[in-house]
Amino acid sequence: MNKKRVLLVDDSSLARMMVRKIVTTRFPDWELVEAKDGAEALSLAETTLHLALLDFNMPGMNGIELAEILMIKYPGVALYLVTANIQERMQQKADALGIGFIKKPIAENKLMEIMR
Amino acid sequence: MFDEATQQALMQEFFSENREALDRIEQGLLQLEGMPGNHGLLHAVFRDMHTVKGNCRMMEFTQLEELTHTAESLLDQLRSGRLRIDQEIGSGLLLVLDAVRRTLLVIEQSGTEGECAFAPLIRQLERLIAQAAEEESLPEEEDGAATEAEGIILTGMVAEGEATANRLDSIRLSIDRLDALMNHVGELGAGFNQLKYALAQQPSQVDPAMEGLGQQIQNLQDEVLRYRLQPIGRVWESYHRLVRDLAVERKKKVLLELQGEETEVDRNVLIVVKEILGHLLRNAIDHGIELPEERAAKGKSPVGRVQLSAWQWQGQVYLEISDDGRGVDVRKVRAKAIDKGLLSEERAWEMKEAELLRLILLPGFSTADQVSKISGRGTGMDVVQSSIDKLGGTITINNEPGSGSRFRIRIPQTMAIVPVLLVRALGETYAIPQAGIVELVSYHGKEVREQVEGKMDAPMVRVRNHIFPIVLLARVLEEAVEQEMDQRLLTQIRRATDLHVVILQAEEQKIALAVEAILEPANLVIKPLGRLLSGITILAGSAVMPDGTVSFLLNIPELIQAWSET
Repeated sequence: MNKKRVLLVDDSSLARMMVRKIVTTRFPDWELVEAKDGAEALSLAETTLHLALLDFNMPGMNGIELAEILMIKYPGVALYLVTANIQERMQQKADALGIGFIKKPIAENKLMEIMR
Repeated sequence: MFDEATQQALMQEFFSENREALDRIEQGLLQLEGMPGNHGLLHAVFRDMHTVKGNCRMMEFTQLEELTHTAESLLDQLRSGRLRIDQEIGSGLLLVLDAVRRTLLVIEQSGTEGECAFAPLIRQLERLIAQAAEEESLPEEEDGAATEAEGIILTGMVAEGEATANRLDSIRLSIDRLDALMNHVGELGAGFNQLKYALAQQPSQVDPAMEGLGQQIQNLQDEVLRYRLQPIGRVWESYHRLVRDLAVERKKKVLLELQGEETEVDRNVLIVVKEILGHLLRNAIDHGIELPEERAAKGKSPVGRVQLSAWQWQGQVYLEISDDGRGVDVRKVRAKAIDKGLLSEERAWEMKEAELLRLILLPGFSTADQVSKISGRGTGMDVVQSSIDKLGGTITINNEPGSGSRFRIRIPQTMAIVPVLLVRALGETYAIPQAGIVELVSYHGKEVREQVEGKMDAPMVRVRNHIFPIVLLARVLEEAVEQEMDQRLLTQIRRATDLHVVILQAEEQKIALAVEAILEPANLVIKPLGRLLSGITILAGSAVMPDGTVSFLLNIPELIQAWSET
């Protein structure tokens, strides 16, 4: 069985650790790929990607800027911004691009919903 | 949601990531006060605060989250240009860092935030944020222009964020280094097996096996020692904040200059050194540097300078702190010493200035008219003195009334392995650091009379084209040097059948140290001197010799100084 692949981009190592724990214990059929910022995410060699969970505030490009590039690199990838407080301006931009939102911190049941 | 081990791992990450971020924010804020136009830095500070907030939310520390959220909002106002960082905003944000750090410690000990009482601080931040709304019409800022901050200008080292994550009681060891250690231990095991085999089966191989094992132990020792040494710059980073806060509180302007941050010091020493220098630094700003108006009236720059330097010399570390303030008022020291009954009036007037200055190192002595909140707590310079004593070091004070003072501390590199030359004097073995040795010369029979001559009655030895004063180690050790004996000394030396001298150098001065015998080179693990002996400045430490006896390491610069003062 081919594993599905989820990309996690967050500059907080604690945030990455938390999601990693959830994914590895609850979603063994998913492979998790991590990056600490947009530049690192785009340097990854992965050719397919099913899901991307992106932090908004990161060094270099922000989550929406990264999402716009990922959309082209991985057609069909499901994109989610993971953020604590959502500003209206951001919300509109994300809606227009078809990017979903997950409130930070990521709750297990929210991931269940998405990763099923 | 998680099992206990996972929860613990998350908490570890929570502490270490937050602390690293807080350290970076602090460095960033201090720099921003000097250059408020640096947008890149401001963004980095904002992001780090954002990370800390996110982490607190993730681990459900709601009070911390609220505080850091408010701080983030204030930073957002700065980032968007609606507010400009000034001393008040800087202080507010620095207070946030202190509060978060304190709370992290509480969490570490108790597992919960407890009652944080952040409300006043949050209100203070909100007041600052509210200013942004009032000042909506703030003029466009001149991009990149470095504006002088109100209280202080910072220069010197700007630490890389990663380097600031230092807790002195623990070290981070890279896997590479751990592997290197493991390798050395593996080699030791192999060496031991070879020796065991040689002893049982091949007696001819015992010597080479022993030699190999010795080398392996040496390698391991070198490796471990390298891990213990840390650049002193690590502990100096925190001084920028200390100087800034104190300068603001005392309404002074202070420029902190650092030199020799790369000087490496043993970890044990580093912790003590941080305290000692911190104390002297506070003293310099509090008591030494004058108020800007006072400085201007004296024709000085309104900005006071405090210079911190470190360097290494012959297995000793030198630390120096100097300022261009008012210097120590020796008359006040004298008056106070008499007043406190430390000296009789007669004795006080007899004392040389250098001796009087040392009085400030006595317990309970303080010359400041008023005890200030930060530097004067009754405990003071005597703590500095006793800490240095414990390390087997010395402190010297130089003073120029009106233009500043200078404290120089010399401490041995504790636990350090020093390459030495063993010599004999008064029937005992002494160790001389190899680093200070220029060459070894022995003369026999009539050579002695040919090479030794008197100059102003002082015995000198000619080595090729150079002439060096002869210093008898035995004499220095006995502290029985009397000038009128020089003529007899000369005769005595010239009559001797052998003369063994070690040519030594410290700074510009070279001497020929005459010893009874030159033994052999060795590598010694040097320990600081005990309390009883720590006052003997010409001894730098002690070491246990292979036969179990104790030998002393000579302190060459001090020895030369002691000789030149007689």
